Amino acid sequence: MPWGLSAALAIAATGLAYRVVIWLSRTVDDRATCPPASVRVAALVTGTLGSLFGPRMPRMLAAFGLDVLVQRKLWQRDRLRWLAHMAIFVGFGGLFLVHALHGVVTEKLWPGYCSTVNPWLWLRDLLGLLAVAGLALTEVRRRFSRSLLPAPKHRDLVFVALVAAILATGFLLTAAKIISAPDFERMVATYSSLSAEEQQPLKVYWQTEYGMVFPASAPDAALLKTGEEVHESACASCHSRPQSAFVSYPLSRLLRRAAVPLAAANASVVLFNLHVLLCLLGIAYLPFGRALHIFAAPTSLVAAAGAATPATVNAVARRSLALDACVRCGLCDERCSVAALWALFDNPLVLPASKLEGVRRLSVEKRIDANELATLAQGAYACTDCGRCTRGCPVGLDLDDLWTALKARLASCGRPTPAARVKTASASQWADRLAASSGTNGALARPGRLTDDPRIFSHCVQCQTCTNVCPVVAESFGPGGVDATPQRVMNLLRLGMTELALGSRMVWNCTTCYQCQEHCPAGIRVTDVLYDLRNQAYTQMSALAEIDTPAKGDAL
Amino acid sequence: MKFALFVGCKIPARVPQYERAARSVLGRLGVELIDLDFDCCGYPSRHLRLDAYLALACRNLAKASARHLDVLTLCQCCYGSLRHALHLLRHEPGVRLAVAQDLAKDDLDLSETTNVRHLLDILARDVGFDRIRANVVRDQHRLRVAAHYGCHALRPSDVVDLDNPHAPTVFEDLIRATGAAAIDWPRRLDCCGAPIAETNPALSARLREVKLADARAAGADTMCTACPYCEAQLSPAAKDAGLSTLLYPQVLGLALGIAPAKLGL
Repeated sequence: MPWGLSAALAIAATGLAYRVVIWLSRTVDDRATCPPASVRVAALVTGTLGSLFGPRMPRMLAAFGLDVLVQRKLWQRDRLRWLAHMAIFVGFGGLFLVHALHGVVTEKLWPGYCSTVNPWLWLRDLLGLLAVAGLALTEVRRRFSRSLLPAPKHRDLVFVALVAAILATGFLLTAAKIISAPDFERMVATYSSLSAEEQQPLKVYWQTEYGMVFPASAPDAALLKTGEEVHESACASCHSRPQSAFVSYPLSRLLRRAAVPLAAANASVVLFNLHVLLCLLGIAYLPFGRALHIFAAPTSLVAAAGAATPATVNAVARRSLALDACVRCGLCDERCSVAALWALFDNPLVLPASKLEGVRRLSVEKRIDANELATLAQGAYACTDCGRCTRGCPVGLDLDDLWTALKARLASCGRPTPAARVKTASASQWADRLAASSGTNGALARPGRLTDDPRIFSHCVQCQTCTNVCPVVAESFGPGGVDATPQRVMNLLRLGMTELALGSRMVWNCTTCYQCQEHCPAGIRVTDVLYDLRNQAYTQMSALAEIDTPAKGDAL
Repeated sequence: MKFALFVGCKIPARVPQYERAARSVLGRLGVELIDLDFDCCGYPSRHLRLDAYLALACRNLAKASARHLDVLTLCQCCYGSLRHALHLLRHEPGVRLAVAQDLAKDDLDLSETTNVRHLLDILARDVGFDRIRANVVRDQHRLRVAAHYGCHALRPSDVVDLDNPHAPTVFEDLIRATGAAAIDWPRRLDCCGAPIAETNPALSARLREVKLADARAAGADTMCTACPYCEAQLSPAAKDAGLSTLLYPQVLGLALGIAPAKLGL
């Protein structure tokens, strides 16, 4: 099917080119501040050439060998998944090179190559079995995983099904051929000039020794002996015993009873066409779904090794690439320092793999509503920048950098950090706004909350010691200074005007140095109260549906 | 002497030399460190939600207590955060109940308590000044060091337990034990400004500048920190103020004759 191969390759090439264009044109960053695409493309070309022919080349080669081929990071993190990955990679990749590309690769390297002769016969089954075992291991691990984390979404069943179907039809095809009388006839007609009398003993021999199934032919010791002689002279040089195909041969034993109807249905031809068709579909599918990782992951890993420090404009393209290169393995989720928060917040966007999906929806598909934007912001701002997701990523994504870009993007979409959001309005404006959306205040009672309990602050004597020792008060002057001192915040609480304190600059500029609390002669936990006000403000402001400063022209 | 080492988020990401130096120095002084799968101490979440902070902090405490180990923190904010969680667990029954229910979901429990200690505390009280002095092999009496205490190791003093919050001496004593000179400077107990570095950079920088200028005026050539937040906040601006910054285990490691490369220098 040469036209089929051409079509599949054309689809794959077009799709990949389209992907590359996307990596270069879309951005996670805010378009207003991001350099134009032309600048980014130019930087990528010079950056790539500079890395390829520069001092970082050895590092990139090492990354290709250790990180791409040997999967060093996966090995360090999870041996079982490494084993599954390597089994599929070696098995399926080996079949691709040795079997699918036999005309281009194998025959050039080993001129005597013949797929029906050992070692090629058993090697093909071995590689296929490796790949099947890898797939099975992945499934079993997934089924019996005891992780309490939600599995990353968007599992690509099409990709898994394609790989599995290619392997299955491959085994079935070999098994069907082993028992196929029509194939035997065709081979004899094509490759020998045996007469009908010579063919009969050969058939007996093949039926007895090679597992072939012929309609009604009785074994006979004399015929068998003659058959062996014919076989030795006509067939043996191109056919090892099929028993060496240690998966396909047992499979053929299972199919043996159905050999006659299978032969009538021309099963081996049908299976061959199906196998080839699936392989072509596989090629065409390369730029889509999980299959893309075959290109995107190595690109990402090598680019990570070749990337200049400090980051250049090429970081924009790497961020875009990251959205495609992520294989959703979820290793980052397991490493996340704040993973425990996803259950508490009931928000999977706290976890890196899900958050990356959120970034994609925010910046690429632009299908994100205010609600999801709020959950994405919650996830983004719960991150502690510990970098463990980046250090453990088996495809070399600079996730830290992606989260930084996400925060900038959120700020331009009207969801800046809680502290920055507070500064969009004065304390009294916040008090009005929160009062207008009242009802949330009473519902927030929880253990450890200080501002509800007058015994915490009512004995404040307004002596100003807290204010006098406060470094924020001491260094704040002018319009950006504090709007209330710690002592005045305590007084607002005493007067029952907690709402006025929630958006106060004093509360949000507090460095939590605890000087006020340590020095308070009345023993009031001033800093803890300021923390508590922040917590209360954060919860109430997060519940506000409105977005404060919608970015103009943003397609939300 | 065996502790569960708590490196936290900031050190591996931004100040990895602190961990390297601390491991080298503690190894030399016979302190064994155990690595557990600790997560965030909860400090960054404390600004947002108390329950989120407690969920994170208490998971670490439960993991350490399951191994019957006390926690050694390098970061003062991790130290303050974990100590604060311990304090709430001991004094707020409502908090303890809520946390226990949350942890039970992950098969963790709070039946045993663990103590949380800072590096400086362990060096001063467990290793001891005598042992440190006995191991010093390099003379560095010319080094004039300003000890930068850091807020969360000292305050609030009913929660943390390093030294007297108003007139501490432990950091200076530890510096003198290495043979270096510890200078006295008025702003040694002040905040470095790190907690508001992102939310209010201008104010944060002003807090940093007055401290650096004060240390320089008092005759220091090196600012010594024992917290990754303080270190990351002060070191970029120290050069302009005519100072260098070193983490305490680096000062100590040099005195012990440990190779600079093993101290992240």
